[in-house]
Amino acid sequence: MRMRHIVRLFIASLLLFTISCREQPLADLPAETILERAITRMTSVSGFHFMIDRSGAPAYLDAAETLSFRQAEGDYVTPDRARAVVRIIAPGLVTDVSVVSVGAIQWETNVLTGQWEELPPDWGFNPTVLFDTQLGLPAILTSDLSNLVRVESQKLDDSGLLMYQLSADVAGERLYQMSGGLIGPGPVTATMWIAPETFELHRILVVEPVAGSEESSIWQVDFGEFDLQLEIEPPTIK
Amino acid sequence: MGMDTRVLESGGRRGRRLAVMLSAASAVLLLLAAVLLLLDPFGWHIIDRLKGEYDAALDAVPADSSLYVGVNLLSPDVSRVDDVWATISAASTGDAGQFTELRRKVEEQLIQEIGISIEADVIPWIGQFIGFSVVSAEWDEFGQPTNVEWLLAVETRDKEGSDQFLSKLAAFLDAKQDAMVDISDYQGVSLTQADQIAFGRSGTLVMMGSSTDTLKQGIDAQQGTSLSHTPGFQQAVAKLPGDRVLTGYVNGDQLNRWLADVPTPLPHIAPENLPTSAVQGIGFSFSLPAVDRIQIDAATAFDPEKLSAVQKRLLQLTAESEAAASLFPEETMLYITGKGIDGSWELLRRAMIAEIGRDDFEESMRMFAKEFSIDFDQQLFPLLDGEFAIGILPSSEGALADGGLGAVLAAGTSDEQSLATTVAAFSEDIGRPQGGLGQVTASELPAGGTVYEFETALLPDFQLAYGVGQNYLLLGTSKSALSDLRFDGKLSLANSGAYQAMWEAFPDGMVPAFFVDIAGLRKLLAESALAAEAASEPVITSLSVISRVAGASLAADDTAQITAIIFLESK
Repeated sequence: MRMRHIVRLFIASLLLFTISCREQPLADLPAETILERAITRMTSVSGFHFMIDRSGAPAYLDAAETLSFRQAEGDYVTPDRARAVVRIIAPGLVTDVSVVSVGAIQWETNVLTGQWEELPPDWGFNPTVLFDTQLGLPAILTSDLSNLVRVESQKLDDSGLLMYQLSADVAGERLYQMSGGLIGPGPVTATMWIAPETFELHRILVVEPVAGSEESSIWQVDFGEFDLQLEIEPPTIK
Repeated sequence: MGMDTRVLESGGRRGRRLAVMLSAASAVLLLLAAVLLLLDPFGWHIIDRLKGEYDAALDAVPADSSLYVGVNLLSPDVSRVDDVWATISAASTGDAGQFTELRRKVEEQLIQEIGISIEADVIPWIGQFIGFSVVSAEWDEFGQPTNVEWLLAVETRDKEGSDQFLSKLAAFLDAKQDAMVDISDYQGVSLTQADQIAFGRSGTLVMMGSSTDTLKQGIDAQQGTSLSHTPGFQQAVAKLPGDRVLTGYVNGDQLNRWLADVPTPLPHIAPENLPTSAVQGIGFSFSLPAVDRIQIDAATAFDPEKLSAVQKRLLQLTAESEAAASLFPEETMLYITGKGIDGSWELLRRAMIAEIGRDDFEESMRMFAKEFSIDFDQQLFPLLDGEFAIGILPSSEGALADGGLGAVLAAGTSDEQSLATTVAAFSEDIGRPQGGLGQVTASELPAGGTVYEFETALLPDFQLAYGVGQNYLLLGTSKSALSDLRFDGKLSLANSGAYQAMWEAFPDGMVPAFFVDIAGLRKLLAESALAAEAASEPVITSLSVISRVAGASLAADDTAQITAIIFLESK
């Protein structure tokens, strides 16, 4: 008799433990609300770390198709400062260049000498444009999305946090302007991972079909270290 | 037999006895000297000094120093310095007194700067060895050294004399700098720090350094482990000539760190992924084996456990004899040969992939193939598994014709068919009437094989000839330069008496690696369309003292050596 009590108690405890360990489902919010809150958070954040990774078909930086964008990792602080290390692939050469942007002025390390040089206006890859309110992600997420749906919530590779996952079609014109011609102007599909509670956008995955190529260009943009406090200053030019 | 005879006999016995006693005493003295030499109770290292295997200054060089350069003032070759200088002076300006003048200027400058006369204050006590080392250094993002900690160690044969010199130096600095001369003691050694220099004497070494901390490291090395005890140093320096004037050594770890930090168009490559990561150290030396010769040796010591299979194969190839000299004509003026383009590419390829990832590497190769119609990663370099050689020879055609020269590259392959296919496809692509790079004309080489001539309207004076034949990939500044190659071996460089005689100056077993016929090039330039420019070009005129430069290599399982000899014009 006493033994039966103990077994019942054990099973009840086990059930309670199992229930308490189960992942809490995310709040049942519509996709539009989640996106709206994510845009609000994005425009209020003071800085973050980012990583842009292109895989699949090459994305060329020039019309002659001799320079391909591969990756950029760096930091952004409001309102207009960013720094990044950008990997560029050229025929027979893979190289990393450092970039610093302060407002409209941009500096880049020379591929051959490693020395900092100021770039002419509108040259090079300026990471601050990604977060521009007129051309950047906030504007694209606000105005250029269609067929927005919420799909199954998912954890990202490097975080144990279950996130909202949204999928949408994106018009490519503004994306084309923002990326300096790297993405778009045709439509692309995008998937977004947004954290519950904070509504911070942790990842956007953009798949862009490439004309004349069997494979698409895949762009993965990861964000982290939200509200990063960092001084980004113009580099010392020797 | 009379009295005189007896006296003579008696005197003869005494003389013999004296001779025996003297001989015995000499033998004992010799034995004693031999014992002293072998046991070396006073730490004089006499035998090792004579054999060039001991360097007193090295005792104070910390084991992990980045760089060491030492001079043996009693090397037999030192006696030739004045003669070699006289040879150089006679061949250039005819003024053999320049060296004396240079010495006088240095002496004057030292007296002015630090109040020291080499003749009066240093020569009286200086010993056999002087050694300079960079104990540690950091590099900025442009590869320039910063925070260099250095140490100079000079052997003294008169401790009192050297102490007087240091006292005089301290007094001068004290008076001149109005100041901060700080004296401290470490391990019983008095150390003086004045501004940015520190000095003191520890045992038989006078030390100067960038700081007292550096001197302390030198004193610790003297009493413990110094650079001379490290395996890399021992392995590399053992391969250098014993009678060298100057000995140098570069620490492999530090070299790899520097190579990893130096800016290049390539992404940063970690030291452990560099093709040089197995290098323990590189020893180098400078010697004067004759009044008309300057010899520079370098020996790279590898850690066999870090050597990859590809690197081991490249070392084996280096040890094999060369045959490409039989391909080039005897009038060749510059010749460089080597082996294993495929292996060298594989090493670089692996280093790149380890850092940037296979996907990025392959994408850059695909872009190259798309742009230049050849996939050198898959269809070119892996096929170049034989010996290669570059030659410059007299020619009246091609891009170097103004100087009367032509250039040829011949790279050996064991798969001529595949190489021919690659080159034919490349030629077809760049020669396309629509969208090609220029005009390509194919013809047969007399010895067999195909040669292509490339011309483009964009560069009217530019010509390029290339092709495949006789198990070689060929590239030249003109078709005629390629046609001058001696596929039959007749009248070739290898058969030239002057070429063969040149290698007699090298140690046995070394394999020719390069030579430059400076005198021949000078003569050809003087007769060419560039004669006027060449006559006023400082680089060309300064080479007037040199007749030839040649180099040969030797490799073992864990060491690679190269010896270069500069042959001076003797008048």
